[in-house]
Parts: sequence; C-alpha cells; structure tokens
Amino acid sequence: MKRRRNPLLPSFDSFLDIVTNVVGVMVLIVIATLVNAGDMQVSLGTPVLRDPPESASRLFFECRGGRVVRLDEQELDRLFRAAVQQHLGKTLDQFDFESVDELPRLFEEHDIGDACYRIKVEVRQFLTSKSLVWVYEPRPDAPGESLAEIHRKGSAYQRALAPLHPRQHFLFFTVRPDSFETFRAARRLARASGLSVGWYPRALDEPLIFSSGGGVGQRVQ
Amino acid sequence: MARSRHQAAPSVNLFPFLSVLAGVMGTLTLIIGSMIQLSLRDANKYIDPSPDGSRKTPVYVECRGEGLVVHPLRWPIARERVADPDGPWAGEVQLMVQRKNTHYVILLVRPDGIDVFRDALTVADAEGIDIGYDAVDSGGDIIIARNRKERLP
Repeated sequence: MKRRRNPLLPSFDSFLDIVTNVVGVMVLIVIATLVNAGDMQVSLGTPVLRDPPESASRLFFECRGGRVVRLDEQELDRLFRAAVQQHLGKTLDQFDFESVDELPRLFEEHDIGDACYRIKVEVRQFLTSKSLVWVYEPRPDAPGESLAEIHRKGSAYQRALAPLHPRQHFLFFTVRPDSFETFRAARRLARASGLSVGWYPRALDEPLIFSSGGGVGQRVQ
Repeated sequence: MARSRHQAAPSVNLFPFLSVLAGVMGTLTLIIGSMIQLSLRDANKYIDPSPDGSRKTPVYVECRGEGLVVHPLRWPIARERVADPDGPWAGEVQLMVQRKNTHYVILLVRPDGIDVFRDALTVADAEGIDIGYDAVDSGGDIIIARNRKERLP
C-alpha cells in the first residue's frame, strides 16, 4: 500500500531560497567592502590656532581609553582648598617657602579628589622660588562616555554642552593616542553648538599636570 | 499473492546543501568583519586642503613616530633633526616666516608622533607663524586632495 506524504510537514525549499539569497548578498557586500572601505575622508574644519573669545571660561575634558571624561577644574580646585584648610588649618596664601613642602605629603596621605580624578601636588623649585603644580591622576573607574554614548540624546557630554554660550565658554581636550576618533566626534558635537575647541595630545602614561603659568590649554582652533 | 512493486520517485534531499550554505555564510561573515577592520585600520586619509576660516594656503606636515613628512612632496625629516635649530625643519619654518602672509602650517598628528609634534610645534611657535594641528589616526597614507577625484600621487 502506498504511503501518502503528510501534507502538514513543513517544506524547507523556501528557507533554502532565502539562505541562498543571503549568501549571494554577502558576496556582494564583500566585493563592495573591498572597493570602498579603504578610504576615509578627514575634514579639518578651522585648524589655525587662535585665542579663545575674550574672558571666556574653559571646560576641560580628557579623551582616554576611547572615552570622554570631564575634568572639572573648579570643583577640583575647591576640593584642594577645602582639604588644605581642613587638614592644615591654613589658606593657600599662608604658606611660605618652607611650609609649602607640607602640601605634597598631605595629598599623598589622603585620597582627595572627585569621582574622575585624584589630586596630587608637587613643589617645583626654581632658583630662589618654589611653585606648586597640580597632578590630576585619573581614577580607573572614572565615569566617562564612549563615542557612541556621547551621541545619545541626553548624554552627560551633551548635557554639559547645553548651557554653554560660544562667547562665554570654550572647550579644551587632552587627547591620548588611543582616543583620536572619540575626540574628533566630541569636537564635532561642540562645534555644532558653535563652541570653540582646543586640544593637545599627550602620551598614554603622561601625567596631567596643571600649573598657574602653564601655556597649554589657552588656545583654540 | 504477488505484491505489486511500486517504486517511489527519487527525491533530492537538500539538507546537506543547507549545511554547506550555512557554513559559507558564517565564513563570509568572518571575512567581511575582518576585512572591514583591516580596511579601516589602514585606510588612506584624504585631507581637504581648503579648510574654512582661512584664505591662506595650508602646508601640511605629518608628525609620525619616525619624524616629520612635509606634504605634498612627502619630504621626510628625521625625528632627531626636528628640534635642531639648524636642521631642515627650522629651515622650513624660516621659509614659512617669509611666506607668512600667504601660507600657514597644519601639523597632522599621528598617535605615535606626539613627541615629534611637540618639537615641531615649539620650533614653529617660536617664529610666530600661523599654525594649526589635527589628530589623524594611524595607518594608511595621508593624501591631500580637495575631493577624491583630485588624488595626488
């Protein structure tokens, strides 16, 4: 007796057609990738160094590990002064040539800083004077945003840019060699808001040093 | 009673073919992924030679780990000679000083060329010429071209 084929069994023929077509499309993608993906256009915008708008205040960011991290100079300065007052009972202008050496020790012994950076202090001696430099050490678990995250609506980076005015603020980035692409994306967003942007590249392990007479960070492009 | 032998029509089983196709698909996905990675890493960088905001002519200088490369002639200056006050970079900057009303320098910084960039910027800054710099990823050649139809050699 002849067995009849069960008409309810699924047929894989259509599925096979789809898979075959997908393979064909992928072959086309391989060819298109080979032809086109080798080139990248770099747009430089306005790269000549110039001074930022007069009396404009600076917002500082660091691009490292593919992330944009805010370095809040005002907040770190406030934390620095508060720690000096709390632990040594002095204001900064009460230190003299000898007693200024207490400061590096204080910040070595105490972890003072914000969520992104720990503050350390060094005293550099010139012929007859000493000057303070601030070393901001990035924390390994510092919050920051990746290239994709800064593009999201409501990202911390975009929230930081939102209240800024092109005549009253400018941005400055320290850029590590592993974050050039992230920096360019962040700069594009800032420029789209009309803000001036400056930047300076630093090696991966180079400390972030701030001093009162530092020349870097004062010009935009 | 003799049974009538009725032979069923031969049918083709396509399941082995499906496995082969699935295998090919996976391999192609890997190939596409790796090719895109390689292509992007070593992509040529096309620089638009007329940036906004300046009517002066830009002179592009690439800062690489091994030294400077002055475009478009790709004239190399060794790393150890960049900071030399009597070296070729200082000479190039002096030439730029003479042409400062019509030309300016743009340093294109590669990730491995940060130290070279600093030396070059210090020399150029000291002479007060107009200068700018930008970040360019590693890999590939820098090609100065207004658009892709004007590729330079």
